[in-house]
Amino acid sequence: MSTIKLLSSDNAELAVDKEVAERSILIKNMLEDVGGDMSDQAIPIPNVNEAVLRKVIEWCEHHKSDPPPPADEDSDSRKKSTDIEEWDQKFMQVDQEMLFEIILAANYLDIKPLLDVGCKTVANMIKGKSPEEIRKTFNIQNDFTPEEEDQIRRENEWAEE
Amino acid sequence: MPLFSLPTELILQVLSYIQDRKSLVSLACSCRVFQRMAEAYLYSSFVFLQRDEIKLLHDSTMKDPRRLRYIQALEQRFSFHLHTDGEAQLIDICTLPNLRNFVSESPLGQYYASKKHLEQWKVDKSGYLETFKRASLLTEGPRPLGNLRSLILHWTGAGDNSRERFWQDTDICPIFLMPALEALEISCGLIVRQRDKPAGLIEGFKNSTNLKSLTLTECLIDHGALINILSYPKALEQLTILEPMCDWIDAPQPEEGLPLVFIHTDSVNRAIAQQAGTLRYLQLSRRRQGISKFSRMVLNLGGLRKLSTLKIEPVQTIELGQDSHWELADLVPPALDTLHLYEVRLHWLNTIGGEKIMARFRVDELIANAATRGAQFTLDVSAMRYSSQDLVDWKAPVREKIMHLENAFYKGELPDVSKMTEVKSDGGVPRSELRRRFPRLRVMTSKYLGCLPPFLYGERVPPNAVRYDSWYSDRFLASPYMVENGMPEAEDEEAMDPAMLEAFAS
Repeated sequence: MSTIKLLSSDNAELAVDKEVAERSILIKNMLEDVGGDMSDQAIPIPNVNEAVLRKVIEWCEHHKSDPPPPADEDSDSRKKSTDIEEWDQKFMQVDQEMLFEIILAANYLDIKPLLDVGCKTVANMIKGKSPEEIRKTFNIQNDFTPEEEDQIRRENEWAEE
Repeated sequence: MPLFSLPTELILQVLSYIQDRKSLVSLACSCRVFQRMAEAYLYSSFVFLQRDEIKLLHDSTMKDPRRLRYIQALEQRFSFHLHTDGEAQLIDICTLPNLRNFVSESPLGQYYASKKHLEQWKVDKSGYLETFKRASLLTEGPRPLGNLRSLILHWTGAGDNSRERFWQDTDICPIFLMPALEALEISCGLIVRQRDKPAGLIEGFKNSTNLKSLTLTECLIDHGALINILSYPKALEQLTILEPMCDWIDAPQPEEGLPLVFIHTDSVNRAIAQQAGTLRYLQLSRRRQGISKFSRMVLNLGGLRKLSTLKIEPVQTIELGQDSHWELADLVPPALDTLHLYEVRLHWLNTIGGEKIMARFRVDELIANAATRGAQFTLDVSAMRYSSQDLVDWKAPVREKIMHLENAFYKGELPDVSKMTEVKSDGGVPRSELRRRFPRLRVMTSKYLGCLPPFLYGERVPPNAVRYDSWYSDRFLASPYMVENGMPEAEDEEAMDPAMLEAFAS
């Protein structure tokens, strides 16, 4: 099995199995463009630092033999569930900084299933919370007066069904 | 790194996983940035079952008109059995620039509807038609509703056994002429040809809409109107025409100048031929009996190069002692994969009946064409519903009838897989796979659910249950829902009448 090298934004060189790296559609397309021979040259990943890149590679290793996601994007079935498989749940038990970095990296590297897991993790952090709990969770400044907050609640509550 | 440093589209993707509205409301109340994003979801789609609920939407969009831009799907389903008409104004859908899907049901389409709201509905309906006119080719641009892609109108009128059930319009009704619309479904329409049109009007609309799918349920259409309506789309892919299910006693009669579409073979063929290059799906149902003389309806579909699915109903009826039926003309559609025949009388399936079906629909040619393409042809047969008494009177076992059908389908070359020696060289082919090398025959039944089409709010479409499948070794399926991948499609046995269940069980 051939190995390729990735160069993180902070200049760390990481060796990865080609098959693992190709979970990233960006890298896969890049390798196809150059004819697959990148054995001596490291591919620069300028948007992702070493710690995050290692984390992303760890995910790709674990999921290297997953079947490809269905071609036609059935957004309904995708949206229905925020279930996350156990291994991924554990994998996502990181601080918020790292969680958002993983989401950004998955988006940049075009690893759709990882992006989905990241977004579902954040969605689960919002579900069932009060406005105050949401602000606390994400360290958000409340820019509403109590009256405004109340008004927005009233204007929207009816749409709850 | 705060959450808001993520690009907006990624935050919106996060929110797409939050389905419960309560959480979205909490989010909207947490800060201004989240308010905008959460409201984009909260306001994206609405289903109104009560007219007065619309007031709440009016109020909140008055407070913040940005919310109008978030609405992508709107359903006003006033056929709901607890619907009470109120005073609320309907939403002016022209104020919804991003509306993609719109569903409108009249409050009159159910037996519990009262006629006192008829006047209000008349006003609503003409308001909608005025709006659609502004969005159609009948008006010079700029036009509203430029993002509307799907429109469903169940505008059933008041009255049960009367012509009031139908709403009348013409072939230049604006709903047929909205250039950006991709899917249109109407029910209970009585569509006639507009007389005294300016010369060249219809020609000017030719190939000018993006309509891909047209569904006319329980509709009566003048054949000339159909020709015009099917000339407007650039590339129609799906066409469904279902004539009314019931023989309405005082339904509009053809002799009153409203010729029914399916008694004019040439007109129907001509109308359909206009979309020959693109049609993939065609469903035609002629359900009325006794009103018009319908003897032989010969479909000339050889020019439909892309047609892959054809559904026909009924296969054969006896009217006034005369055998009436559909059939395919000499040239068959070359790419047809699936032929579905509805309302087949199982007791008619003696040897001759089965062979007649195969001959009329040129099944041999369809099978051969599919084989040339490397595909397997599927013939689906939906049995007509029988009462328990029918089955008692008729006695013959259903299985025997289906065997007649199968013999006719396979022309005596029935693959008896059980007798085939399993080819075992280099892995071999399992017996269950062998069947898949032959064309497929399925027999289905459905249960009457007590309501007529169109299926309005809360009404279930009767499901089809597969009772027999030639691709599976246990061809009479104990569990009719075990089809495609062996996974049950539904749990309930509801689709099977007890009488039919018994007939198939023996």
